[in-house]
Amino acid sequence: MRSSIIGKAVIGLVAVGVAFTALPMQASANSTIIIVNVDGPGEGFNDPTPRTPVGGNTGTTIGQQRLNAFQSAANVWGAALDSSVPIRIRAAFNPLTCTTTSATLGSAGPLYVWNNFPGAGFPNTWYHEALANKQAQVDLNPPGDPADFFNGADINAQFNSSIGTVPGCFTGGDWYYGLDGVHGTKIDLFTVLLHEFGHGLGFSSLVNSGTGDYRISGLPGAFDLFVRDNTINKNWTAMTTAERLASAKNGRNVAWTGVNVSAAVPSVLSLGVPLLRITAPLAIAGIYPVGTAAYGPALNSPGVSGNVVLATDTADAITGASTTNGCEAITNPAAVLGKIAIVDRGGCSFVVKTARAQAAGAIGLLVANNVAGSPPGGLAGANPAITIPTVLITLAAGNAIKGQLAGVVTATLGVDLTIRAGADGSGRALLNTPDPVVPGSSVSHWDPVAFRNQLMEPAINADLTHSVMAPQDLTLAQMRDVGWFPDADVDGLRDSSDACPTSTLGATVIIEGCNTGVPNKFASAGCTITDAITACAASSADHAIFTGCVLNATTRMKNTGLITGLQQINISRCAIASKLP
Amino acid sequence: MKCNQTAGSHWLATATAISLLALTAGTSVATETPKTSPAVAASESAGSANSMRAYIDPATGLLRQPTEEDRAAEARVSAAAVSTLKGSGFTITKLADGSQRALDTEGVLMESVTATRNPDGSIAYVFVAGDGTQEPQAAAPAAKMEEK
Repeated sequence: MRSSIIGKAVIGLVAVGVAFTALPMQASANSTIIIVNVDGPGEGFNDPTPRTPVGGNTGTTIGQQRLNAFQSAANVWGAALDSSVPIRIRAAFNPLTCTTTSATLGSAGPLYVWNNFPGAGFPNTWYHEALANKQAQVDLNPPGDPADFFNGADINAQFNSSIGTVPGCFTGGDWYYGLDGVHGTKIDLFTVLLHEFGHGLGFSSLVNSGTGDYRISGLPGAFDLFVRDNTINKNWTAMTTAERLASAKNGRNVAWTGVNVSAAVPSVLSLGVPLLRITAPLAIAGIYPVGTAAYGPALNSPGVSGNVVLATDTADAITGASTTNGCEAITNPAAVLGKIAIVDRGGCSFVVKTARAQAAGAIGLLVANNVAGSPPGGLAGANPAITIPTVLITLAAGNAIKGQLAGVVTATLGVDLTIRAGADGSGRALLNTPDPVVPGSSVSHWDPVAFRNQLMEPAINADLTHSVMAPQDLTLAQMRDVGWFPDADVDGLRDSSDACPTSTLGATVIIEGCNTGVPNKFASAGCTITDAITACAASSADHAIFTGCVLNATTRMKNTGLITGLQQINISRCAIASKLP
Repeated sequence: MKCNQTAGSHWLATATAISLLALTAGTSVATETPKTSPAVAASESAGSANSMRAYIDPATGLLRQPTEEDRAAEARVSAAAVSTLKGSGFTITKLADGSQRALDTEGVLMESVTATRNPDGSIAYVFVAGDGTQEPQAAAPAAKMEEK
């Protein structure tokens, strides 16, 4: 039965009153984030069902644990962002759609966007309300306006209360309400919340990826200012609607141009992009994108090289009529032995295909997609007995290869160590632009090829931390790019509270070309060791005073454990050898 | 009684109606001090031009007469230019200072996440546009899903 939204909304209205008097919780850091509980008595955040505290969540009811998880995720963002205006998240746990094997976990997004407000970073650009408030330094939509049903909330969020509480809803699954990330096979609510709040705070395009149009009155969002297509070398704001439509599905070729993210990429993303390189025949020679497998050995450099052979098997009533899907025992093992096998997707699990190819002696496996689209996704599965690498390639690439198998096709399965996983050749982070477009997933996420795995990928990976900043994550850098706070030297401290807003951030301390070999750590709030030495040079009238200043500064650093005695000597040697000031 | 929330559109129109229902029933809807944003010289909600207004005393939670401040705010609303992009999913309000705000009335900017359990017990996540209450949209087959 479908209930009307009216009934739910009445509950919500009443609950707002309850929430304001009893339940708002606040993060007290650089920003205040208020979770506005709009659930009714006895439900959602107010569910009194007893629960044992778990993973640092001290709540003793389901409702309290939910609220604690919400507030803890909000605290992470609150500590990372700067705003003098409280951010209000209208939140509820409701019974959402679910079956025994799948469930809508929840949803979130901005309620309002603003443009051309006082203090706006860019004109004629829509800003998510929380960011607009920050830039305006005033609550543009304060609570209490009777015309605003949402009562000043900036972000709307609702999550599924049926998971773990209603039999038959995502059977065997449950939320993990712990705060420590040790979620095992459960769904880590904390991580999902961090991701969804990220969208509400500014990580979302306002372009309709299915049409290429700006969604609202022909104007871009702040996010859209930083999207660039590497194929036609145009920013999205300079494109026609048709160009944006094409770009939104130009896989692995659409990058984020913000300087903060680009500066963070080297410390976050690993070198090595998985690829298939065809070296012969020339007609199809080139580099092809691949989706990697969750099982078997990871691709490496120099990788696995060899001729490509089509592996054949028998048709089967269960696995299908295909004799090239690798679901049954390979019927041409002599041809496959020592070669890179290619089979078609479909009919059985990816793990089965790999096991069949491996048993026939293949050194690697290409699975050709059976539907059009690019770039290829990853391959799920687990089997510790698998010892050969497997990748998914596009339908087009598979057809191209199979079309040349009358001759010799040679290939290498490996990684390009000159490019970071999830970045382009210029070191800019790539956005998720699959073909065909996936509404809600396309553009407003990082490319899932990123590694280490990122919070704002279109998947929740098990190895995510609860950090939103480098060196774990690019999201905070993206927030800086869209205007959350200026950080000229990208050291993680906003300029207004950074004692050295333009720090020298080299890897080691170098004095007039003399490399001390000492790691250039942060010595004080926002200032590096190099900054301290630079300050000595600036304040010293002669070389003796300079070397004395360096000695004093490094002695303090040694006494606090920042550097060792030997490192102090190395710094002093370079200081003495210099001609500073 | 709790049911799945399936109506994902026209939040604002519904919200306005609900506000009136709640108010006329004498329900206390908020304990924060009602105030009109000084930054908002104009505001608009679907159907508000001819709709009934109600005012609540923040101290008692009871209905009260409108104040001069209320009337002034309403006058500003009437004077302001308001445009609504019908069918776009947004209600746009132009304010006196030249700024604009857009309310996402249909959850267009919402993103929902769905979890599906794979045969091997792992969980695949899919992110889709909307608040999760719309009809499923066509999407590329998910290669990350374990096949049969």
